[in-house]
Amino acid sequence: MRHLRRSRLLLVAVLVAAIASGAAAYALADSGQSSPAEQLNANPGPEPFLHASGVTASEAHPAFALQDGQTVSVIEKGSTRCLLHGIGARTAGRCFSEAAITEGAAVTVYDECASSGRHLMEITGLVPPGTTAVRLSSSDGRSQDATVVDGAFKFEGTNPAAGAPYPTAVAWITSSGAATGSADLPVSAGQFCLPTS
Amino acid sequence: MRRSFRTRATVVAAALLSALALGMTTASAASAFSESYGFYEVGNGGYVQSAGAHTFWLNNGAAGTGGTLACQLFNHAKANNVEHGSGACTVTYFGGEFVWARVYNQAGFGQRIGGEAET
Repeated sequence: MRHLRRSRLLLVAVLVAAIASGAAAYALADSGQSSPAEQLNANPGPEPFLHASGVTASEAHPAFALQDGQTVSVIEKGSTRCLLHGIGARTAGRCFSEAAITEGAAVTVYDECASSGRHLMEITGLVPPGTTAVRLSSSDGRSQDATVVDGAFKFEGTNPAAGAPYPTAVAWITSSGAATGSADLPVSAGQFCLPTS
Repeated sequence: MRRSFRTRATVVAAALLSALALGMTTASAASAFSESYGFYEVGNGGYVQSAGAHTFWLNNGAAGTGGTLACQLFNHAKANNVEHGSGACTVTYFGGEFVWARVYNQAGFGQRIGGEAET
C-alpha cells in the first residue's frame, strides 16, 4: 500500500516536471513576442505587420501572380487594406490606412539582384479608392500604365542597369483618365540592387 | 477491482498528460527560427544585419522614424533579393539557401532601424 502511494507520488512528480519543461520550452519558443521588431511595431506574433492591424494571412484573397511565381494577395478590413506576397502558404505583407495608401506608402519595389538570377524587378502596391489604373513614370520621361485588380497593381520588368532609365513615381488614374495624385517610388537611382559585401 | 480501476485511470491520465507535455515540447522545437537584429541608430545609407546566415525566407525591417528602407536577403552565391518600402519593408527568398538578412536606412537621415528574419 505504502509502495503504491510512493509510486503515485513519483508519477505525479514526473508529470509535473514534464509539464513544466514543456511549458517552459513553449514559452521560450514564443519569446520572440517581446522582440524589438514587435515592440517597434507594437504587435506580437509571427506576422508582425499584419497582427498590428488585427488581421491574419488567412484572410487574404489572391489578386494576381508575378513572373517569379509569387502571388500577390489583398486583405480589406474596415478602413485598413493589406498587401501580401508569398508562395503557397508562406505569405507576408503589410497593412495601410487609406491616407497612407494615397501617399504611396503601400508601393514597394522588389528586386532580384543575384548575378545568377533573372534580374527581375516587380513594383506592386495598393491604390486609393476610385483608381482604375496606375501610371509608372521613368527617369527618361516615358510612362506605362497598369490596370488595377482588387485595389492592387503590378509592373514587372528587370532591374535598371547602371546609367539606364529607371522608374521614379506612380500616379493614380481614374476611369476618366485624370490623375488624382502621385507618389515617388521608395527607391532612388543607384539603389535598385544592393551589395552583398 | 476498485483499486485496479483507479490504477488504470491513473495510468491513462498520466499517459495523456505526458503526451500533452511531449507535444508542447515537440511543437516548440519544431517552431521556425527567428532572429531579431539591429534596433540602433544608423546614418543614412547605413544598415543593420543578422548575426548569422540561416535558411531565412522572410526578413521584415522597420524604421523608428519613417522614410525609405530596404530589406535584403542575400548570400555570396545565388541569392540577393531586395525590397524597398516606406517606413518598413518585407523581403522574401524562397530559394532555401542560407542567407543573411539586412535592413538599410535610405531615409536621407539617421534613425533607429531593426529587422526580424524567419526561417
